[in-house]
Amino acid sequence: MKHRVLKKRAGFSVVEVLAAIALIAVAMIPLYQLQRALADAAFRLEQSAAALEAKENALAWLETVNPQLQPDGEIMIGGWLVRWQARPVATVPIARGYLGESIHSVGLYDVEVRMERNGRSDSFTVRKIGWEQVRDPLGFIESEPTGPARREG
Amino acid sequence: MTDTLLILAGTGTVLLAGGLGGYTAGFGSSPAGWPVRIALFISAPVAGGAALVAGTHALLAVAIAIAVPLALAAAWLDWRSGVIADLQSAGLLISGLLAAPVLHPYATWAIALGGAGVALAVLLCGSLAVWLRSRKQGLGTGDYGLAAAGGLWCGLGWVGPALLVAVAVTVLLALLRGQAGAARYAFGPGLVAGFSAAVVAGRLV
Repeated sequence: MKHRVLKKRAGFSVVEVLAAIALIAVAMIPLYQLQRALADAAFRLEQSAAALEAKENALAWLETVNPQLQPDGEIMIGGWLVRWQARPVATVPIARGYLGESIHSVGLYDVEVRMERNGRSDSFTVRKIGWEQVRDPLGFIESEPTGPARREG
Repeated sequence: MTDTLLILAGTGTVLLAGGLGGYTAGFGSSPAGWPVRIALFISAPVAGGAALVAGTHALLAVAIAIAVPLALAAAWLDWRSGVIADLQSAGLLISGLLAAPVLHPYATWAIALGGAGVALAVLLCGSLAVWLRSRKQGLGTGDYGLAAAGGLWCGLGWVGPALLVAVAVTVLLALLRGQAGAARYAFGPGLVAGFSAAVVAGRLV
Protein backbone atom coordinates (compact mmCIF):
# COMPACT_ATOMS: atom_id res chain seq x y z
CA MET A 1 0.00 0.00 0.00
CA LYS A 2 1.40 3.30 -1.06
CA HIS A 3 1.21 6.31 1.17
CA ARG A 4 1.34 9.62 -0.56
CA VAL A 5 3.33 12.09 1.49
CA LEU A 6 2.47 15.72 0.98
CA LYS A 7 5.50 17.90 1.23
CA LYS A 8 4.87 20.81 3.52
CA ARG A 9 5.42 24.06 1.64
CA ALA A 10 5.12 26.95 4.07
CA GLY A 11 3.18 29.89 2.70
CA PHE A 12 2.79 28.35 -0.71
CA SER A 13 -0.98 27.89 -0.44
CA VAL A 14 -1.41 31.59 0.36
CA VAL A 15 0.63 32.58 -2.69
CA GLU A 16 -1.44 30.19 -4.77
CA VAL A 17 -4.66 31.73 -3.48
CA LEU A 18 -3.37 35.22 -4.26
CA ALA A 19 -2.33 34.13 -7.76
CA ALA A 20 -5.74 32.54 -8.35
CA ILE A 21 -7.51 35.67 -7.07
CA ALA A 22 -5.38 37.86 -9.34
CA LEU A 23 -6.23 35.68 -12.36
CA ILE A 24 -9.96 35.70 -11.62
CA ALA A 25 -9.83 39.44 -10.85
CA VAL A 26 -8.43 40.10 -14.34
CA ALA A 27 -11.45 38.28 -15.75
CA MET A 28 -13.72 40.55 -13.66
CA ILE A 29 -12.39 43.79 -15.18
CA PRO A 30 -14.97 43.81 -18.03
CA LEU A 31 -17.65 44.06 -15.32
CA TYR A 32 -16.92 47.79 -15.40
CA GLN A 33 -18.81 47.98 -18.70
CA LEU A 34 -21.72 46.14 -17.06
CA GLN A 35 -21.75 48.64 -14.19
CA ARG A 36 -21.79 51.55 -16.67
CA ALA A 37 -24.60 49.92 -18.65
CA LEU A 38 -26.62 49.28 -15.47
CA ALA A 39 -26.18 52.85 -14.26
CA ASP A 40 -27.00 54.32 -17.70
CA ALA A 41 -30.12 52.17 -18.02
CA ALA A 42 -31.30 53.13 -14.53
CA PHE A 43 -30.61 56.82 -15.29
CA ARG A 44 -32.60 56.70 -18.53
CA LEU A 45 -35.43 54.84 -16.81
CA GLU A 46 -35.61 57.46 -14.05
CA GLN A 47 -35.56 60.31 -16.59
CA SER A 48 -38.32 58.65 -18.63
CA ALA A 49 -40.41 58.08 -15.51
CA ALA A 50 -39.96 61.73 -14.50
CA ALA A 51 -40.94 62.92 -17.99
CA LEU A 52 -43.97 60.63 -18.00
CA GLU A 53 -45.08 61.92 -14.61
CA ALA A 54 -44.64 65.50 -15.83
CA LYS A 55 -46.74 64.72 -18.93
CA GLU A 56 -49.48 63.23 -16.76
CA ASN A 57 -49.43 66.35 -14.58
CA ALA A 58 -49.53 68.61 -17.63
CA LEU A 59 -52.44 66.63 -19.08
CA ALA A 60 -54.30 66.86 -15.77
CA TRP A 61 -53.77 70.61 -15.79
CA LEU A 62 -54.95 70.88 -19.41
CA GLU A 63 -58.24 69.29 -18.35
CA THR A 64 -58.96 72.63 -16.68
CA VAL A 65 -57.93 74.72 -19.68
CA ASN A 66 -60.51 75.91 -22.16
CA PRO A 67 -58.45 76.51 -25.32
CA GLN A 68 -61.00 78.90 -26.75
CA LEU A 69 -60.70 81.23 -23.76
CA GLN A 70 -57.05 80.50 -22.94
CA PRO A 71 -55.38 79.80 -26.28
CA ASP A 72 -51.89 80.05 -24.73
CA GLY A 73 -50.28 80.24 -21.36
CA GLU A 74 -47.68 78.76 -19.04
CA ILE A 75 -47.53 77.31 -15.54
CA MET A 76 -44.94 75.67 -13.25
CA ILE A 77 -45.93 72.12 -12.30
CA GLY A 78 -43.58 70.00 -10.20
CA GLY A 79 -40.50 71.95 -11.28
CA TRP A 80 -41.43 71.79 -14.99
CA LEU A 81 -42.35 74.92 -16.94
CA VAL A 82 -45.38 73.90 -18.99
CA ARG A 83 -46.30 76.11 -21.97
CA TRP A 84 -49.25 75.53 -24.23
CA GLN A 85 -50.43 77.02 -27.49
CA ALA A 86 -53.82 76.18 -28.99
CA ARG A 87 -54.39 76.23 -32.76
CA PRO A 88 -57.97 75.95 -34.05
CA VAL A 89 -58.69 72.97 -36.24
CA ALA A 90 -62.38 73.73 -36.78
CA THR A 91 -64.59 76.32 -35.13
CA VAL A 92 -68.30 77.10 -35.17
CA PRO A 93 -69.21 80.67 -34.08
CA ILE A 94 -72.64 79.55 -32.88
CA ALA A 95 -73.34 75.86 -32.68
CA ARG A 96 -76.58 74.72 -34.25
CA GLY A 97 -78.46 71.54 -33.43
CA TYR A 98 -81.90 70.06 -34.07
CA LEU A 99 -83.25 72.15 -31.21
CA GLY A 100 -82.00 75.32 -32.86
CA GLU A 101 -79.07 77.59 -32.08
CA SER A 102 -76.92 76.85 -29.10
CA ILE A 103 -75.87 79.45 -26.62
CA HIS A 104 -72.20 78.38 -27.15
CA SER A 105 -69.55 78.95 -29.71
CA VAL A 106 -67.43 75.80 -29.96
CA GLY A 107 -64.16 74.82 -31.60
CA LEU A 108 -61.78 71.92 -31.96
CA TYR A 109 -58.19 72.79 -31.11
CA ASP A 110 -54.76 71.24 -31.38
CA VAL A 111 -53.03 72.17 -28.14
CA GLU A 112 -49.27 71.95 -28.42
CA VAL A 113 -47.67 71.51 -24.99
CA ARG A 114 -43.98 72.10 -24.36
CA MET A 115 -42.36 71.20 -21.03
CA GLU A 116 -38.93 72.40 -19.88
CA ARG A 117 -36.83 71.62 -16.83
CA ASN A 118 -33.09 72.04 -16.22
CA GLY A 119 -32.28 72.21 -19.92
CA ARG A 120 -34.44 69.20 -20.72
CA SER A 121 -37.52 69.65 -22.83
CA ASP A 122 -40.35 67.51 -24.08
CA SER A 123 -43.45 68.27 -26.09
CA PHE A 124 -46.71 66.67 -27.11
CA THR A 125 -49.95 67.67 -28.78
CA VAL A 126 -53.48 66.95 -27.62
CA ARG A 127 -56.76 67.72 -29.36
CA LYS A 128 -59.30 69.50 -27.17
CA ILE A 129 -62.69 71.08 -27.53
CA GLY A 130 -63.02 74.76 -26.57
CA TRP A 131 -66.24 76.61 -25.95
CA GLU A 132 -67.54 80.00 -25.03
CA GLN A 133 -70.99 81.15 -24.06
CA VAL A 134 -72.10 83.77 -26.59
CA ARG A 135 -75.82 84.01 -25.87
CA ASP A 136 -77.97 84.29 -22.80
CA PRO A 137 -80.22 81.20 -22.42
CA LEU A 138 -83.22 83.49 -22.47
CA GLY A 139 -81.95 85.31 -25.53
CA PHE A 140 -81.60 88.74 -23.93
CA ILE A 141 -77.80 88.94 -24.31
CA GLU A 142 -75.95 88.13 -27.46
CA SER A 143 -72.27 88.67 -28.06
CA GLU A 144 -69.58 87.72 -30.51
CA PRO A 145 -67.16 84.96 -29.53
CA THR A 146 -64.02 86.53 -28.09
CA GLY A 147 -61.57 83.66 -28.63
CA PRO A 148 -60.07 82.10 -31.76
CA ALA A 149 -63.57 81.02 -32.82
CA ARG A 150 -64.34 84.64 -33.62
CA ARG A 151 -61.18 85.10 -35.66
CA GLU A 152 -61.65 81.88 -37.57
CA GLY A 153 -65.42 82.08 -37.78
CA MET B 1 -35.00 70.11 15.61
CA THR B 2 -34.67 67.26 13.11
CA ASP B 3 -31.42 68.72 11.79
CA THR B 4 -30.01 68.95 15.32
CA LEU B 5 -30.96 65.33 16.01
CA LEU B 6 -29.36 64.20 12.73
CA ILE B 7 -26.15 66.12 13.51
CA LEU B 8 -26.06 64.62 17.03
CA ALA B 9 -26.69 61.11 15.66
CA GLY B 10 -24.00 61.57 13.00
CA THR B 11 -21.47 62.89 15.53
CA GLY B 12 -22.28 60.06 17.94
CA THR B 13 -21.89 57.47 15.19
CA VAL B 14 -18.56 58.93 14.11
CA LEU B 15 -17.20 58.95 17.68
CA LEU B 16 -18.47 55.40 18.22
CA ALA B 17 -16.77 54.26 15.00
CA GLY B 18 -13.52 55.97 16.07
CA GLY B 19 -13.77 54.26 19.46
CA LEU B 20 -14.47 50.90 17.84
CA GLY B 21 -11.48 51.38 15.55
CA GLY B 22 -9.21 52.01 18.53
CA TYR B 23 -10.81 49.22 20.58
CA THR B 24 -10.64 46.53 17.90
CA ALA B 25 -7.03 47.39 17.02
CA GLY B 26 -6.13 45.91 20.38
CA PHE B 27 -7.49 42.42 19.68
CA GLY B 28 -5.20 39.44 19.11
CA SER B 29 -1.69 38.73 20.25
CA SER B 30 -0.28 42.16 19.50
CA PRO B 31 -2.42 44.72 21.29
CA ALA B 32 -2.15 48.23 19.98
CA GLY B 33 -0.71 50.87 22.23
CA TRP B 34 -2.48 54.08 23.18
CA PRO B 35 -0.86 56.14 20.40
CA VAL B 36 -2.33 53.76 17.78
CA ARG B 37 -5.73 53.72 19.48
CA ILE B 38 -5.86 57.49 19.80
CA ALA B 39 -4.74 57.91 16.17
CA LEU B 40 -7.53 55.55 15.04
CA PHE B 41 -10.07 57.36 17.23
CA ILE B 42 -9.06 60.74 15.80
CA SER B 43 -9.05 59.42 12.23
CA ALA B 44 -12.88 59.15 12.30
CA PRO B 45 -13.74 62.83 12.84
CA VAL B 46 -10.77 63.92 10.72
CA ALA B 47 -11.87 61.76 7.75
CA GLY B 48 -15.54 62.75 8.14
CA GLY B 49 -14.66 66.44 8.50
CA ALA B 50 -12.35 66.35 5.48
CA ALA B 51 -15.11 64.69 3.44
CA LEU B 52 -17.60 67.38 4.49
CA VAL B 53 -15.11 70.16 3.69
CA ALA B 54 -14.55 68.56 0.26
CA GLY B 55 -18.29 68.94 -0.33
CA THR B 56 -19.43 65.34 -0.16
CA HIS B 57 -22.95 64.35 0.89
CA ALA B 58 -23.42 64.23 4.69
CA LEU B 59 -24.37 60.53 4.55
CA LEU B 60 -21.20 59.71 2.63
CA ALA B 61 -19.13 61.76 5.09
CA VAL B 62 -20.58 59.71 7.99
CA ALA B 63 -19.91 56.47 6.09
CA ILE B 64 -16.31 57.57 5.44
CA ALA B 65 -15.91 58.50 9.11
CA ILE B 66 -17.08 55.00 10.10
CA ALA B 67 -15.03 53.19 7.46
CA VAL B 68 -11.66 54.89 7.86
CA PRO B 69 -10.87 53.95 11.52
CA LEU B 70 -12.28 50.44 11.08
CA ALA B 71 -10.40 49.82 7.81
CA LEU B 72 -7.17 51.13 9.29
CA ALA B 73 -7.74 49.05 12.42
CA ALA B 74 -8.43 45.93 10.30
CA ALA B 75 -5.25 46.50 8.28
CA TRP B 76 -3.26 47.08 11.46
CA LEU B 77 -4.66 44.06 13.28
CA ASP B 78 -4.18 41.73 10.30
CA TRP B 79 -0.64 43.00 9.82
CA ARG B 80 0.26 42.53 13.47
CA SER B 81 -1.82 39.54 14.56
CA GLY B 82 -3.11 37.87 11.40
CA VAL B 83 -6.77 38.33 12.30
CA ILE B 84 -9.56 40.66 11.29
CA ALA B 85 -12.19 41.32 13.96
CA ASP B 86 -15.85 40.62 13.13
CA LEU B 87 -16.72 44.07 14.50
CA GLN B 88 -14.43 45.62 11.90
CA SER B 89 -15.97 43.68 9.00
CA ALA B 90 -19.51 44.37 10.26
CA GLY B 91 -18.81 48.09 10.66
CA LEU B 92 -17.30 48.28 7.18
CA LEU B 93 -20.30 46.44 5.72
CA ILE B 94 -22.70 48.88 7.41
CA SER B 95 -20.67 51.87 6.19
CA GLY B 96 -20.74 50.40 2.68
CA LEU B 97 -24.53 50.11 2.84
CA LEU B 98 -24.72 53.76 3.98
CA ALA B 99 -22.37 54.97 1.25
CA ALA B 100 -23.87 52.98 -1.64
CA PRO B 101 -26.84 55.29 -2.44
CA VAL B 102 -24.48 58.26 -2.68
CA LEU B 103 -21.65 56.51 -4.53
CA HIS B 104 -23.97 54.69 -6.95
CA PRO B 105 -27.04 56.89 -7.40
CA TYR B 106 -28.43 54.76 -10.22
CA ALA B 107 -28.97 50.98 -10.00
CA THR B 108 -27.63 51.35 -6.44
CA TRP B 109 -28.22 47.90 -5.06
CA ALA B 110 -27.48 46.00 -8.25
CA ILE B 111 -24.06 47.66 -8.38
CA ALA B 112 -23.26 47.63 -4.63
CA LEU B 113 -24.57 44.18 -3.75
CA GLY B 114 -23.25 42.89 -7.08
CA GLY B 115 -19.83 44.25 -6.10
CA ALA B 116 -19.96 42.50 -2.72
CA GLY B 117 -21.12 39.27 -4.38
CA VAL B 118 -18.44 39.36 -7.05
CA ALA B 119 -15.71 40.09 -4.47
CA LEU B 120 -16.88 37.15 -2.35
CA ALA B 121 -17.15 34.92 -5.41
CA VAL B 122 -13.62 35.76 -6.59
CA LEU B 123 -12.14 35.01 -3.16
CA LEU B 124 -14.18 31.82 -2.83
CA CYS B 125 -13.16 30.63 -6.31
CA GLY B 126 -9.51 31.37 -5.56
CA SER B 127 -9.67 29.52 -2.26
CA LEU B 128 -11.64 26.65 -3.79
CA ALA B 129 -9.09 26.22 -6.59
CA VAL B 130 -6.29 25.94 -4.05
CA TRP B 131 -8.31 23.73 -1.72
CA LEU B 132 -9.11 21.32 -4.55
CA ARG B 133 -5.43 21.16 -5.44
CA SER B 134 -3.75 20.96 -2.07
CA ARG B 135 -6.58 20.75 0.53
CA LYS B 136 -5.31 23.94 2.19
CA GLN B 137 -7.17 27.03 3.28
CA GLY B 138 -5.55 30.25 2.17
CA LEU B 139 -7.91 32.91 3.49
CA GLY B 140 -9.69 33.64 6.75
CA THR B 141 -13.30 34.70 7.36
CA GLY B 142 -12.19 38.28 8.00
CA ASP B 143 -10.74 38.50 4.48
CA TYR B 144 -14.14 37.60 3.02
CA GLY B 145 -15.92 40.19 5.19
CA LEU B 146 -13.42 42.86 4.25
CA ALA B 147 -13.69 42.01 0.54
CA ALA B 148 -17.52 42.06 0.66
CA ALA B 149 -17.45 45.47 2.34
CA GLY B 150 -14.96 46.68 -0.27
CA GLY B 151 -17.26 45.41 -3.02
CA LEU B 152 -20.16 47.38 -1.51
CA TRP B 153 -18.05 50.52 -1.50
CA CYS B 154 -16.48 50.33 -4.94
CA GLY B 155 -19.26 48.57 -6.87
CA LEU B 156 -19.38 45.79 -9.39
CA GLY B 157 -17.08 47.32 -11.97
CA TRP B 158 -14.13 48.08 -9.73
CA VAL B 159 -13.83 44.77 -7.87
CA GLY B 160 -11.41 43.32 -10.44
CA PRO B 161 -8.91 46.21 -10.36
CA ALA B 162 -9.30 46.47 -6.55
CA LEU B 163 -8.40 42.81 -6.02
CA LEU B 164 -5.48 43.07 -8.43
CA VAL B 165 -4.10 46.02 -6.45
CA ALA B 166 -4.83 44.12 -3.21
CA VAL B 167 -2.81 41.09 -4.37
CA ALA B 168 0.03 43.31 -5.60
CA VAL B 169 0.17 45.26 -2.33
CA THR B 170 0.02 42.05 -0.27
CA VAL B 171 2.92 40.47 -2.17
CA LEU B 172 4.88 43.73 -2.04
CA LEU B 173 4.35 44.06 1.71
CA ALA B 174 5.40 40.44 2.24
CA LEU B 175 8.57 41.05 0.21
CA LEU B 176 9.31 44.25 2.14
CA ARG B 177 8.73 42.37 5.37
CA GLY B 178 11.12 39.66 4.21
CA GLN B 179 8.45 36.98 4.55
CA ALA B 180 7.92 35.99 0.94
CA GLY B 181 8.06 32.33 1.91
CA ALA B 182 6.16 32.68 5.16
CA ALA B 183 3.07 30.64 5.96
CA ARG B 184 0.98 33.72 6.57
CA TYR B 185 0.45 36.70 4.35
CA ALA B 186 -1.57 39.59 5.72
CA PHE B 187 -4.21 40.15 3.03
CA GLY B 188 -6.05 42.83 5.07
CA PRO B 189 -3.73 45.78 4.35
CA GLY B 190 -3.75 44.89 0.65
CA LEU B 191 -7.54 44.65 0.59
CA VAL B 192 -7.89 48.01 2.34
CA ALA B 193 -5.40 49.63 -0.05
CA GLY B 194 -6.91 48.03 -3.15
CA PHE B 195 -10.53 48.85 -2.39
CA SER B 196 -9.66 52.37 -1.17
CA ALA B 197 -7.84 53.04 -4.45
CA ALA B 198 -10.81 51.60 -6.39
CA VAL B 199 -13.32 53.81 -4.56
CA VAL B 200 -11.21 56.92 -5.23
CA ALA B 201 -10.73 55.90 -8.88
CA GLY B 202 -14.47 55.27 -9.20
CA ARG B 203 -15.20 58.80 -7.99
CA LEU B 204 -12.60 60.34 -10.31
CA VAL B 205 -13.50 58.47 -13.50
